Amino acid sequence: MPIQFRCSNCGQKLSISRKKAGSDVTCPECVQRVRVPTIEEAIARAKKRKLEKEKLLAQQAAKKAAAAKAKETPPPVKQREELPSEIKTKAPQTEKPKEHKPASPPKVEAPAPVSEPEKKPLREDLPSEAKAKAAPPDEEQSPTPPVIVKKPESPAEAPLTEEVEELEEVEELEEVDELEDINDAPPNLDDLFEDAGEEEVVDEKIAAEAPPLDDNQLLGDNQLEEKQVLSELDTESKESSPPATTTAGDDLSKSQAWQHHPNPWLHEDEEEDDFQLASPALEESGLDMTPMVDVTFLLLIFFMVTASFSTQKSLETAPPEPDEEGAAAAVVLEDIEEESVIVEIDEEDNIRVDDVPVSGFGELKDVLQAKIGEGKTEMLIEANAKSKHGTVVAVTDAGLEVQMQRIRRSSKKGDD
Amino acid sequence: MLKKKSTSEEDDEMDITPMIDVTFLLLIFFMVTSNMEQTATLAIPPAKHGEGITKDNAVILTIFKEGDEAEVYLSDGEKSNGPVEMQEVTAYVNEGVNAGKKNIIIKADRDIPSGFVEEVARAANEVEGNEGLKFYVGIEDKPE
Repeated sequence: MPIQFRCSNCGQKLSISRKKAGSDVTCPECVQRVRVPTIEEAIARAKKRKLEKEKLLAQQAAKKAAAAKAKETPPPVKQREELPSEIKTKAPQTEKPKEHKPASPPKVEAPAPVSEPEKKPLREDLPSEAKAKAAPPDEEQSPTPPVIVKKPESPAEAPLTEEVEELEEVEELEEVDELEDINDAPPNLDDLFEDAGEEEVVDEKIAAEAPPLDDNQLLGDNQLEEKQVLSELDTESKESSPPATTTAGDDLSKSQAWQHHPNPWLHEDEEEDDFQLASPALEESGLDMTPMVDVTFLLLIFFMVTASFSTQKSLETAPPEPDEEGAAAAVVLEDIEEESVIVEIDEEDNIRVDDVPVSGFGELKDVLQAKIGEGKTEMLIEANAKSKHGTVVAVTDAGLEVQMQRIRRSSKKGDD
Repeated sequence: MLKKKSTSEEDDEMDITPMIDVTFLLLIFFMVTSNMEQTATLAIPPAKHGEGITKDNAVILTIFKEGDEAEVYLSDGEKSNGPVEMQEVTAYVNEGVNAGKKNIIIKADRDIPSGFVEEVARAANEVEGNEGLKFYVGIEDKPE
């Protein structure tokens, strides 16, 4: 069964195998060498705690009335005594940590109360105070670095031996996970409460309030929280019944477990803890349309850019022959006759290829193709001025299709 | 914890359906209008072997057919800046050439007498520095 104790340097609850009792280990939190208390030491410590608990109980009973009346914030030491009642009123907030705690409530209470009262002294006098709370007497030093684990639940009231028996054996030193308790209200006071409560009282009313603060190890914050709890308790004097809140711890855990069921409509605590910026709901939607939108935008931009507004399909034509020059600049027909095909277009758009009438552009193309085969790779278009522009363009296009090397144009204005 | 923002604080995710609708609308619009570059009244002759000439480097003249008459516009497929006379054509082309343009594109309706087109071409050629000018006839791309 593992020994549970507190690191003398940082106060971190540690759990280690009983075999390592009395040896030195390295605290995983503060990375310091810590001496694991022996079984005897643990027993002595447990006894001490018990005594303190009883003392506190008496004090709490006496101070309850005072706490109910006064709203003042008592000194830290006294806070411990008054807190139990206050803590119990604060059950809802503190209930959460209790949920996290596994094991049975009674067990939760046992170690908590035992440890909490000692926690305070521990923090105040770290090196000197008891380290093992609900820890088994046996502690051994493990070769591996100690690991922080959750404090096992075992009634603190039970004698150390009982605690020892209940605790599981752990071969390695483990850290006790106490995160859950951080959120709770005054941890120390609750611990104290639970210590007292374990023995006797079960205050169901307060049970709902007293949180399982057993494992709270807040140092500085405890003081503040205690004060807050105190003020709250003052207002709820009626509920500040017996300090036995510790047992309340048992009931608390039960009722708290019920009360602290996370309210989906309220996220106050959640927000305090895990502040998430991501909106998880987004992932729940069925079909993620983001890629589609991306592609759509891409297409849109593509068409916007390539709308071909800036290019005009054109056929290159020969520069026009200046009218004044007449035939001077023109190429003499005879010179090119051997290489050129002469296509004539009259005013009615009749096409003649080398004086051979051609009907239709399909035939024109074939004829031109044949001309290409004959080695005539140039074309001269003589278009009547009244011929349609479209016809000229079509003939030119046909010439390009048969891959005429050169297409010249001579425009006839009436009769040459 | 994960569902923290499921109810109380979650501002509903923006519904992007309307945005997608508008986007598609724009997309279709550009897909359709990018091919319609000419006014309905200008029936440019089709051709298969036209080459794309960037308009940035070209002077574009448009010849509309109005009734039996052809009208020259100093524009690109629109009935603006016209109808003009040949002298204005020359001046207009002169401006373009001075601006560094080397190509002259004549977009003429297919039913316009080719002689007229030649006249316009000649007028355009009467500018200074007409040595490197290239003349093009605007066509409509007609895939096979």
